[in-house]
This record gives sequence, C-alpha cells and structure tokens, in this order.
Amino acid sequence: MEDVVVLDQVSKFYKDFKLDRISFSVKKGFIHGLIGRNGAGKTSTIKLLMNLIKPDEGSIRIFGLDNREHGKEIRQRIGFVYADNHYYEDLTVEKMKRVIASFYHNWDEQAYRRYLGMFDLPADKKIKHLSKGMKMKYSIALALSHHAELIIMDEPTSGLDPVVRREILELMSEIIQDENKTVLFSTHITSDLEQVADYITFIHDGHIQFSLTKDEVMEKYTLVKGRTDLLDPDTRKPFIGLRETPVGFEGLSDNPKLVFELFGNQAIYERPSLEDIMVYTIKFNHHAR
Amino acid sequence: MNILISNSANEPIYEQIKRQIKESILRGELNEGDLLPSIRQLAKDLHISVITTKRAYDDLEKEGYIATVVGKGSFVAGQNREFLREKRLRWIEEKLAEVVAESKALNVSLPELIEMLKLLYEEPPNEGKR
Amino acid sequence: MFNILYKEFVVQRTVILAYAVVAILFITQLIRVDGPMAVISMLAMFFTFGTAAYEDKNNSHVLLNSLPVARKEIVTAKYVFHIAFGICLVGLTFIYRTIIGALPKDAAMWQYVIAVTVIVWFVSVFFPMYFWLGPRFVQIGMIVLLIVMFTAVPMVYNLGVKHNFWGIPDFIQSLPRFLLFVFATAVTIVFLIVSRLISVRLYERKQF
Repeated sequence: MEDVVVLDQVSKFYKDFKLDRISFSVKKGFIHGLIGRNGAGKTSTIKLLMNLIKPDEGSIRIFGLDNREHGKEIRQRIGFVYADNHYYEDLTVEKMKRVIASFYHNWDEQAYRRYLGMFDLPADKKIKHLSKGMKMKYSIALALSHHAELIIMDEPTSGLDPVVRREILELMSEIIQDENKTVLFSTHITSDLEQVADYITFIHDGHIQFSLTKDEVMEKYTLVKGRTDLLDPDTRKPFIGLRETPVGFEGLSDNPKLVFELFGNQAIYERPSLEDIMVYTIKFNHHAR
Repeated sequence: MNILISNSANEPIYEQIKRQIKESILRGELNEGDLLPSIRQLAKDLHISVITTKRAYDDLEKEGYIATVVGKGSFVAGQNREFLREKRLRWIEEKLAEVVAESKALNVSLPELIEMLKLLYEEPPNEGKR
Repeated sequence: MFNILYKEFVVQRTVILAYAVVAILFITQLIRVDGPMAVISMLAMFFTFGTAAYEDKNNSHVLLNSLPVARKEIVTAKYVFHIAFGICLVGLTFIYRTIIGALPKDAAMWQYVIAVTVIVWFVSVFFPMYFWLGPRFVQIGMIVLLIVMFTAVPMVYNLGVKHNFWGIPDFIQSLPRFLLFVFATAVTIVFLIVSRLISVRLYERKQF
C-alpha cells in the first residue's frame, strides 16, 4: 500500500491560528476523509497540498515528490474540487472547459462528455447561472476528465441538498473502483464520512487528533448510557466527555474495556457516531485548557 | 448471493459479511469456483469501507473458504466440498453420540434404535420440518 | 505558457473587442484628439489595469495556481500578453493609416515606436507594483490614470506644442540615429528583464 500523500511535521503560522506539526499520510486506492470544524485547518491543509500556501516547517510529498520542487508535475496528476470554485463566472461551461483542458496533458474529452451527460450540465450556460450543486458537479466533471490519480476535494458537499450529496458520495466510491485512484476530501459533515470513507483524519484547532481507518475509529470508542447514580469520581475517569441530565448520563469513552469493567450490565453500550466522537472530543479539549 | 448489513447490530460489520458468505457457501448458493464480487464493488454496494470488505475476504481466505487470484478476483475455494462434508459428518457424529447417550440412559437397545432410524429414513422428506 | 495566453484571450475576448472599437474611433478621428498615439497608449494602460481588477475580483489566482502551471510562467504570460496587446493596438493604427494611404513620414514613424516603448515601460512598472501591493494598487492606480489622462496629459501636450516640446525632438533627431535606437532599445529591454525578475520573485512568494 503506497502513500500518495505524506505530510511530515508540517506547520503554518498565522496571526491568530496555526497548524501545528501536522503529520499524516494518504494511502493509494482509498477514500480519505479529513474532518474537523470550520476553522480547524482543513482548507489550509488542502491549500498546502496544492502549493497555494507554503509551510513554515515540515515537508509535503505527493506521489513521492516534494510538492514545492515538483508542483507543476504533481498538479498534472491531481484533480481538484473546491467549495468555492473560482471559475470565471462570465464564461460558459464549454469555454471554461477549453481553458482548463489546455493545461492537462491527459485531457480526456470523451470522459468529460460522459460526465456532462451524467450530470446533465448545459454546455452553453454561463457559469454564473449554474446552481451551487451544478457548479460542484461541473467541478467534479473537470477534475475527473484528465486521468487524475489523486482527487482532492475541499468541502465538496457543503451547501448541497441530501440528494446531490448522496450522488457525489456515490461518485467517489465509483472513482476508487480503480484502485490506482485516491480520493482525499475534507468536510465537517460527519455522516458523509461514515458512508464512504476508508480512512479518517480528525483535525482540530490545528492539531491532528487521530488518523485511522474508519473501523479503527469506531472500535476505539464506545458510547455509554446509564443512570446518574453510577457516576462517581472513579467511574468518571475513562470518559472523554459526559452529558449528564436529570434522567441519566451519556458519555464517550476511548477505553471500552475499562468502562465495561466499571459498569458491566448496568449500562447500555452503543457504537458512537462519528459526530458523537467529534463533538465529545472537541468539548473535552476545550475543558482541558 | 445477497448480503445484508445491519449498522445497529453489535456484531462487527466484517463479521456479518464473513458469516453470510460462509452460510451461502454451506447452503450451496455459492459453489466451488464461483466468482465473488470484488472488495471494492462490494464496499460500494454495501456503503461500507473497502478496508472492511478486505478484512472479511482476508479472513475467509485464511479460513479456507475462498481463494484470491491477483488480477482476477476472489473465488469460492475448491476444498470446500470436502471440507463441508467433513464438517457435516462430524456434526452427525456428535449428534449420534448424544442420541446414543440418551438411549443408553433410557435403556433403549441398539436394535430398537436402528428400527427408529429405519423409520426416519423411510419418511418422506421435509415432513414435520416446517 | 500558451495555455495561459489562451486563457487570457478567452476570458477577455469581449473586453479586447471593446477596446479595439474604441481605439478605432480615435484612430479614424471619429473622435478628434491631437495626439491619437498617446490615447492609444493610455488605452493599453487602462486595459492592463482593468484586467488586473477583474482577476482580483474573480479570485482567479486560486484557480490558476491549482492548475499544473509554474508561477514563473504565469508572470511571463502576463508580460507577453499585455505588451502584445499594446503592440496590436498600435498596429491597428498603422494598418488603418496604411489603408487610407496616410502613411506618415519617416519622423512620424517614431510615433509608433515611442507608443510601444511607453507601453513596455508602463508594463514594466505596473506588474512589480501590482504583485507587491495587490488589488489596492489597482483600484487607486486606475483612478490616478484616469485623472492623468484627462488633465495632466493634455496639459503637458499643449504646453509642449507651445514650447516646441522644449527642443527634445530636435535634439533626438540630431543624434546618430542608429546609436539612439540601440541605446533606447537596450535600456528598455534591461528594464523589462529586471521588472520581470522582480515580478517573478514577488509572485512566487505569494500565498493564496
């Protein structure tokens, strides 16, 4: 299993925010989800990969090449989809495509036409007249029409209705039917990741909380529900976060074994959703300050 | 072959897949040499991770139920016919051992037991089964 | 680099056409001015400002730099495109005058050369400033240019006519033609090269 992207101790300092020694890798042939709140550093990470911004520390390798020395080469093989697609709004779908196609050696007009048809995109419409969902699909069509090996998407589903979101996620699964292609997408919509991601990297406040397979994430945590009288200073220990109400408590723990030892059959254990994990972890980090 | 995954069950998803594929093989729905869906296609159809389907297939291969040929895919393994038969024979032996023990406890003689067996063999199939 | 030039052309096609039409109005004297070549040069400058403003508004830097393209190429393409545009506008004048048979005398041929040189010098100053100061510069610069075009330039021109341009044209004509030409060209080229080097440096440092 090859690493298509490797970030090694990458830091980026802004006035009131910083990406702090980010390290993770993206394996070839899988869908890798980058999740985090708005402002956690997802878009910055993607901009670093695309060489739109430069790191203050650390190195980034894509396809085994340093992304600053070989940026142009690397970007030949990358299809990108951004949340705000900065196309020339006054151009038509067709004209903009011609401009973009001229940059790629491996432009595949047939593939593009296929996607146009699949997404029902009107070639003669001006980009400014496309709906958000259409713009996103157009973006995807362009990104997939030059035999790109790595598809990078920054919040591709935000602002889209559930039907379109589903379509886009299905498309991602379709893309990696070819095991030489890799998808990296960032989002704060956790249910999207639950459906489609193989690996999940959780970034919070400029730090990587974890970078694991989806199964590993799900198996690492457990959601516990029980009576309030079960809680005491000792039993609170294994919890990352607790939500206490007059009618019971709910808590997330990253130590399922210990929790079962403490509560046994007196509590209900459930598989947490990615959203539970994210929310409890974020709240925990805030209290830990 | 149909595979149905429950997200709310406590059984891990890869276990559910393994179990259902095994059952399909044992039931004879899948036969030796049958091509299984690729791990990626299966992942897409079930809306789960490729890593999960891969894990299930890897385990099934280790346990001898399937075999993977690089570039071609995964197939139901050949020894299964024998393997299954062995398993089922063993099951029969175990059950017979239980029956024998019970019979001895109730003082049922061997000839009586054989009579009962004869009658059961001659019964039309599936009677009283549903 | 040609794909970048293609992009510039496609994106600005309508604008280019509009400028060509306006230029023709001045060239054919449908709008009478005393120094049509000066106006042509100014048009080229406006064009440069205008396109820069459009690119900024559209935030197309993000798109462009996500494509498989080097920053150096983007900068070079800008120089090439805008200088070419200026030359085309000047060329338009030349063609028109050739057609109507009003080809100017030898001395007036200098008009064209000077117009192009002015444009090249403008571009050489514009781009480093633009890459250094950004959209603000464009917004302010445009206004300044407008003011200059409608006040300072006519003023200077009229003054020049009165004072026979302070003897500069005569002085120039008294110098050895060839030497002058070579010197002017050399200076312009050096200026252009230095400008581009600075621009590339500035653009490569930019973060989007």
